[in-house]
Amino acid sequence: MNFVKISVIIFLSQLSFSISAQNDKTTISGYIKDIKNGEGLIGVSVYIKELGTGNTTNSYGFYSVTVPQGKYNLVFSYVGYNKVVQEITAISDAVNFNLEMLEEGTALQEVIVSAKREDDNVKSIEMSFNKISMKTIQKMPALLGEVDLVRSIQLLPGVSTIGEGSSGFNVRGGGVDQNLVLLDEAPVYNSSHLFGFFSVFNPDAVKDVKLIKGGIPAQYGGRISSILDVKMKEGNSKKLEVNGGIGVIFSRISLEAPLFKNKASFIVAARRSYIDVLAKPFLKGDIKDSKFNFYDLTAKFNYKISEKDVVFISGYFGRDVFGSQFGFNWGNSTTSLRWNHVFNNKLFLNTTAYYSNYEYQLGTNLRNNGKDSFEWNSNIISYSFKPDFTYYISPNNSLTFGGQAIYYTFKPGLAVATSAGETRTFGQADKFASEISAYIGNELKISPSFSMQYGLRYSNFDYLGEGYAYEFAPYIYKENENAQRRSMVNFKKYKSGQSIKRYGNWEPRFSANLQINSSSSLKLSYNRTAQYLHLMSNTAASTPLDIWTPSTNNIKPQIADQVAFGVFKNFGENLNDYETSVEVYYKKLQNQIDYIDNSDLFLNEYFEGDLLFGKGRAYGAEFYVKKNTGKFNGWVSYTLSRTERQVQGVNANKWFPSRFDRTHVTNVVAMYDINKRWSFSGNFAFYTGVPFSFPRGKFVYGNFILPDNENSSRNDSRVINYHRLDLSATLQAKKGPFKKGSANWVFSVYNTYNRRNAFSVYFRQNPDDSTITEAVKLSIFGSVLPAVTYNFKF
Amino acid sequence: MNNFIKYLIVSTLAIYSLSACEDVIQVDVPKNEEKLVVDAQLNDGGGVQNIKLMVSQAYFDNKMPPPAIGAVVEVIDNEGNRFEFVQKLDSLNKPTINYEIIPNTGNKFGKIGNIYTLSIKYNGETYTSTTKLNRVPAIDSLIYVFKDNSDNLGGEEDEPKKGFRPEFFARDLMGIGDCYYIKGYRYDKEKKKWELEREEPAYDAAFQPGARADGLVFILPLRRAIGSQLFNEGDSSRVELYSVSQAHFDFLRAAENEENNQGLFATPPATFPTNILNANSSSKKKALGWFSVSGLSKMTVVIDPKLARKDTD
Repeated sequence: MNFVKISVIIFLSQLSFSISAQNDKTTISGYIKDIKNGEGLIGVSVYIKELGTGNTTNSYGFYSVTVPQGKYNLVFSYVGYNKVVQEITAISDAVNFNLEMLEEGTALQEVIVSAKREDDNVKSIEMSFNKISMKTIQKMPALLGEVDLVRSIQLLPGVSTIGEGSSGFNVRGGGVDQNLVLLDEAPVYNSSHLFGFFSVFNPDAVKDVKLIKGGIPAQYGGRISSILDVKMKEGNSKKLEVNGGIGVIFSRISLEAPLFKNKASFIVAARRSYIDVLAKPFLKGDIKDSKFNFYDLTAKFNYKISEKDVVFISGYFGRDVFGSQFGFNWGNSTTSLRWNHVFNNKLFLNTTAYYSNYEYQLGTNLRNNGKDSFEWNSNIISYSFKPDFTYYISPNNSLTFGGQAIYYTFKPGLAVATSAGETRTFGQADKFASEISAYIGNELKISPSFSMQYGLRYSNFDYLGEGYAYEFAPYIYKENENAQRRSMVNFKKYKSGQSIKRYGNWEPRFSANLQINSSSSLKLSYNRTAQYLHLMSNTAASTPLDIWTPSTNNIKPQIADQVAFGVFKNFGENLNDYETSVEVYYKKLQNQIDYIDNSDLFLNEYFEGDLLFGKGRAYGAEFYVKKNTGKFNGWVSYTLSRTERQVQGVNANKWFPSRFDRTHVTNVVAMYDINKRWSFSGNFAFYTGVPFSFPRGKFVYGNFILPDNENSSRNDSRVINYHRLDLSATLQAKKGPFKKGSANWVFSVYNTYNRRNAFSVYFRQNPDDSTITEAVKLSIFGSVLPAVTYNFKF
Repeated sequence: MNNFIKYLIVSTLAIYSLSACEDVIQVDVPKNEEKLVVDAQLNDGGGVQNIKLMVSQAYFDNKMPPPAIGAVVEVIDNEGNRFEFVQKLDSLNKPTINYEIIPNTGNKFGKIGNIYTLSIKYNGETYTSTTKLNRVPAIDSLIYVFKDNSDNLGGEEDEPKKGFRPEFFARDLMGIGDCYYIKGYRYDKEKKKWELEREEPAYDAAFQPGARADGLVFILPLRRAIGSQLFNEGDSSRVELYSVSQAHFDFLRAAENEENNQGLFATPPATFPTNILNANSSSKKKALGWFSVSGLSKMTVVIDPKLARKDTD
């Protein structure tokens, strides 16, 4: 582990330097907020004119710069806000300077495409990341008018999806379970309502969204493909604010207000679909008691205890409820408690404790005196404690370190069935696990033109008792034969808390930025990531019933190594009117999970015998051009990529494209503000069709016509190319509701030219003549989907 | 568990149906390798025993499956009894896919516990398969309740909205791993024959292994898996319960799943196991299908409204 040694040496030398130089230095630090609503501003540039260097605010709006004693002009700049220049005399040990910034009073409410510093893409060390402001997301055309964070990030380079109706998203050739979706630091296990049509995030409660696809800093771990970091609003700490809207699918309302003499504030936001309420009078017979709705509730409270301490409590609760005689519901709930503490103006601590639960239930609602019934429960619960420190040694050198402990309980599926009065319980036994990790990272500006970030994370995972370690018969490969179920041959029982299997992984992280000139740079990054949780899913689209399972003695952790290289260049009068980048990446994946034919993953204690393990690789090039300023702005992204898997016993052991492989992905997003009242936007997407497999031959057995698939290859055919145009227009109303505040109408059209894009192709016996076999293309949307949404704010 | 995924799809259909659509498309599929297909489902019920022998087709070849012509077929049990099967000819004297048992006087086919070996000589290859005739429980009762579904949405247009829903009662035999194939029939008075309504494989008294349903009365969805539409007064309903091996259960369950393997949550088309093996293991010629000999219990009722049970749903 030479890497470890080097990083420790660099760290120690930095630390000793900073300690020895302490006496004649001073630290300027504080919080930067929005003057209008008191929300902390993330990523504000703090630039020291005299020294030609600076820093940015962290996710809580905190900044810290340590400089030699003296008088300085600090320039605070943030896109969309008026620049502030402040002279600060730094002669004492520490200077505390808090600032409230004012949004630019542009006559036209121009869309701000980026919430980050405009030249961030060139200057920051980070690469392979994207930020979209909620303002942009709100302006983009949305499916059925419902502003949606996850669907919006699918328009970014390197991000794709299997299609409408599939949960989650795929980043650089990774599966949907390989994205760590964080809502105020707590993981969200299923980011979708209604099978992926809508995401679980209420746009009125979200402040900031960041997607990290590569060069993942050491503080993040647990998933191998990406981090989607969603930060909730803190709530208006200046005055009462109400936001709301009525759309085709959801009605929304949110309330924010200050509390305790502006020392605290809160936000409560709720959404509910209401199609079921409208449909109620029309439901008769066996669907009279039908339920189909989804809702979510988001709340956050923060309290400023002192200049040095702030606490935040955030919560999310969402649910989808469906069914009539046979019902099911699923949803996430998360709670996170965070404490920000500033030790000595240089050392910032955020401590998070969270609880996250994803669960689903299925069951019958039969009323025959309980003599016959069926109920199925499944969940994954995690509890975590996570301190994260940032030590601002100097404007050119900062250190992050911390750790995380997570305890998981899994209920992969337990069913209670009653037949003629006799009850049996069956399914998979509960599972337990712990994940403990520690990390250290250093961000270093070595010279004005060269900076680097490097770090190391160590993660330890224990698959814990009480439970059984099963041993399965070894897999014997037979030529031209697909892998078969392996039978359980031996088992061992473990006591509660006993480690059944332990895994440990070193995860080095590195990225560097070489600035060629003020408007262009080259960046390079490498990261290794390890993942101990796996989503069992053998279907085309992942379903809400898919099961999360820990790494066990049979299931090894997934590991990814990614190298990315990028060229970044800005153009234009202001040097950053246009932002462009080209990135290439190569990713190697280990221990990827696949499934035997006819696998049984649900309620099957021995499901591990149905799993296959293989490797993966993903590579591609991402091109991105963005216009940041002006009435007309937006971006074009193009991704050329490939993602493949190789699994013993599938596809004759040859590499095959994964289910979500798309060769070409192009997205165009354009926004145009005509005048104060009208603005328009549109997006166009073009994707290569996803692959599918087809049977070669068929045979008849009884009433079945069955495929003969011997020697057939996996995913060697593709559905037709996908393309779609969406448009939307926003009209600012003259007055808000009750003649207060403001309001707007959003008119949107999804799938404007009515293309029947293929989601998948499957094979069936013709429903009218079962002797005929045919291929069927499934399109999720077979029509134009127009929508109107009314939003208000006061 | 694909049944639950089926429910999932059905329940959201209300929302999807607004716009989701399916189009039949043309896909170019390379030609497959032709194989012998065996559909040999024999039983101890005393009826005509029949083995179907066909040749596998390309996936989009929608002609009737071609018969395997000129095969020599026999079944031998462990007591040394031999049963020969000969190919039936149609009215034009052309060979059909059906091979029927030659009546062997004094020698009833099928005895619980016996081992049966099938041997097929076809196109210079010999295929064999061995199976055991497993025990099967008796059917205790076949009841029916009156249902009025007039207010229900969905269903076929010509589907009767009022009528009788049959349900059978039987108890799985004690001991884990008894497998069954449940078939429900309705008597077609015009065609004068029993028409299959539904069929469902069972593991002990439930849908799958691991359900811990050993020794139970068959669970409710299985008890009702014998009719697809409501029955009228005077209709005849029949339930047949076949014992099958665990391997045959896996095959049948996979076939059921494949039939429902559609839509949003489809899995890649599966490969099917077979218990028909080429006696010459080095030969490249292979067979598809299954050979089974089942114990059979059955019960028939004629629907009489006066005898209908009370609906407890």
